[in-house]
Amino acid sequence: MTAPGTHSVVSETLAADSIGSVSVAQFLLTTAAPMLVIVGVVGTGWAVTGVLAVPVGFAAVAGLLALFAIGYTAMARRIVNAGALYTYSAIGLGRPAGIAAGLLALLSYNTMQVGAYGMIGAVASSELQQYLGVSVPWYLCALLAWALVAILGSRKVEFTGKVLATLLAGEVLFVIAAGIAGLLHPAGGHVSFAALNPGNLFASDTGVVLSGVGAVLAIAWTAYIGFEQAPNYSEESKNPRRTVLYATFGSLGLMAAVYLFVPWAMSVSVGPDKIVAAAQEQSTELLFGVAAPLGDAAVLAGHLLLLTSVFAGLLALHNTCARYAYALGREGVLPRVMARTSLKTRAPIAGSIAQTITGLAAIALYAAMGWDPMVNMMFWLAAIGGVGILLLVTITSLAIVAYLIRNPAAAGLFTNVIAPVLSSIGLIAVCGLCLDNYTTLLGVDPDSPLGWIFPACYGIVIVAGLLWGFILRASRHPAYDQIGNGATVAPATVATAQPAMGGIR
Amino acid sequence: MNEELRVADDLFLIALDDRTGQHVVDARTLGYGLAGALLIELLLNESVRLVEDHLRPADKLPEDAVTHRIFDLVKAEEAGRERHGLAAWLKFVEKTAIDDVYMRLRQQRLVRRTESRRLLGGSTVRYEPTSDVIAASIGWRPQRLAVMLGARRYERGIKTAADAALAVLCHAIGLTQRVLKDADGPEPYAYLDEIHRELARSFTSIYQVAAGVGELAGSATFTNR
Repeated sequence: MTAPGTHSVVSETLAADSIGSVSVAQFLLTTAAPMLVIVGVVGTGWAVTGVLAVPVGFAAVAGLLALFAIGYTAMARRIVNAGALYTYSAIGLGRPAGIAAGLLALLSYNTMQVGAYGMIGAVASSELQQYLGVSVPWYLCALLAWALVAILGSRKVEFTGKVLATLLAGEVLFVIAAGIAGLLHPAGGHVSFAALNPGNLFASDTGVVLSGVGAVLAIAWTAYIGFEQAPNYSEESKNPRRTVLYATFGSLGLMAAVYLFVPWAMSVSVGPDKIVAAAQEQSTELLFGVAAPLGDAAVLAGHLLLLTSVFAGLLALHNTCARYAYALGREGVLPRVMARTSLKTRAPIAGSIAQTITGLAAIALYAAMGWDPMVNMMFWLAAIGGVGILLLVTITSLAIVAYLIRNPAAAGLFTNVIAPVLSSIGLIAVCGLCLDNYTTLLGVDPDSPLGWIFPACYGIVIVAGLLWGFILRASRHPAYDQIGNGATVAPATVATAQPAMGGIR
Repeated sequence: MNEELRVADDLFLIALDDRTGQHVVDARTLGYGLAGALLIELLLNESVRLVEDHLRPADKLPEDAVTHRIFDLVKAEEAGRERHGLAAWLKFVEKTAIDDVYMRLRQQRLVRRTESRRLLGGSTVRYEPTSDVIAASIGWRPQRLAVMLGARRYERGIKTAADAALAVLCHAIGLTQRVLKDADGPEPYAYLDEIHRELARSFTSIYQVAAGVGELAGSATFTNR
């Protein structure tokens, strides 16, 4: 507290250079890439699940995440640490669980990032054909994006705040304008609220009720990935306690509003009885068809904003993967070489290179095998990665319950117990629905082995992480005590570039 | 050049590539390291104390203008009943640390700063030794630390708290590999481990500052600021 009539030079200086909630929310929204969601995720949701009330699914997930965010931000106020989900899992449930969470995060974010190359390749190829009459294979477009991400990511270059703000504002304005255009040109001349009817969430063209709901929730979940990264910026924030809170809920609220309004408006424009078929036929062009009344120039701008949205999301996810690899390497969970940073740029260079190689390998594989970049690459990998992050958030939610019960915040019973417990129950239920209906999510036959192969991968990673943690603990490896400390200079053991001969262990 | 330099001056020079005149770490990371070094100088001089993560002024005045200015601010904030944690002080001092330490080195006639404009805008700052003799001395600074870290077996290792602080600060901002690039075997690293442990036991405040520097430098990797 400052004495009356005085001012703090230190406080004023730090405040001037810190970032506020709006800036942090901006970073979160960039990772979430709202335009990519509306164009890629929403349409695919209709096409794959046949469920009309996809917007309701988005709203339901937003509500569940809001419950999660109550405990999450309460924990973030206590633990100012950039490791977020991984660190909270280690602190709440123990270090072996933290390792499992960290490995799951690395796998899932990588999978999502790689999947986005399919989208940018397909969209860029389509736009080049549409506007310039030039035919360029999707994988060449994807490789160009990959090269740019590799260069910018290795130098830790991201879009500046102003560029981000402009592009993000453009994205959000366009999709809202498209929605308004859709409402003003309703199919059949009247506005239908069928897509907002929760009852229609349980009616699916596939004929199986819960499979559609599970798939919608899993798809809707991927739309919000990015909101969980607010604690990464807590060190740079004006007021870490408030900034994380406001940025998390602010970005969640904005995303929920957009994801509810725009898809509903699209269903009004196309017609609720035709939207599923239209999504299956038009794929990523569905939104632009709805936006046609805005004029050709606006639609062209929309196409360009889609490309920048996907690219910004690609870069943000690349950096997320590199940072997780850095955090895990720094704490000795992964080989310490993964903690190597470029001294000049602070970029987590080893993690960046590893992620770059992963992306290249995936693009090469899909191109060689002739697999579809939108369905097999973008949608499948987004679904796989998204469910992985859903599992990660569920583990974190349980960790938050455990932590807040042991270390209750001053905020009361609802924050400390009720909200975290309810969100854990909800998240576990959603996980169960998603895993149980995985084949519907992927759009494959119910008997397809993919229905258990991909979920088994999560299980393998989680079990491997737990085992690795137990091994480290049993062998009293010095790295074990550092897990969950975040990016700190740990005592002695971090100083060793390789295991020392003898000494205290 | 004297063999013994102030901690911050030494860190500045260890991080400097005397051939290019540029630092091998980015400005923010170096700033955190130098900020930690300046606070450690105040701690070693017993001008401030670290009490439960808060800096409190003590009776002994600092010996140079830069640390004196920090000391005055600590006193003023204390008088205004403003309590800032260690991280806040590090972030605050970081903002001018590079310039402040450069000015001290310039007064000692060790380096001078030159600035050249780049073709596409911006400028490149270089810190050049003032003579060839000084250049050789600057090049010796990381080697001096490496020799001490490698000399434990001869009972000639690090003897002073200042040098121990320098070693852990170098580690906190990622300079260990640079310092020990010619190290023979794992012993210098194990010795660095021991120095960390010894500081944590016997000079807790210094260790806390170094840990704070490492935390800020590490966290900076997660953001693009």
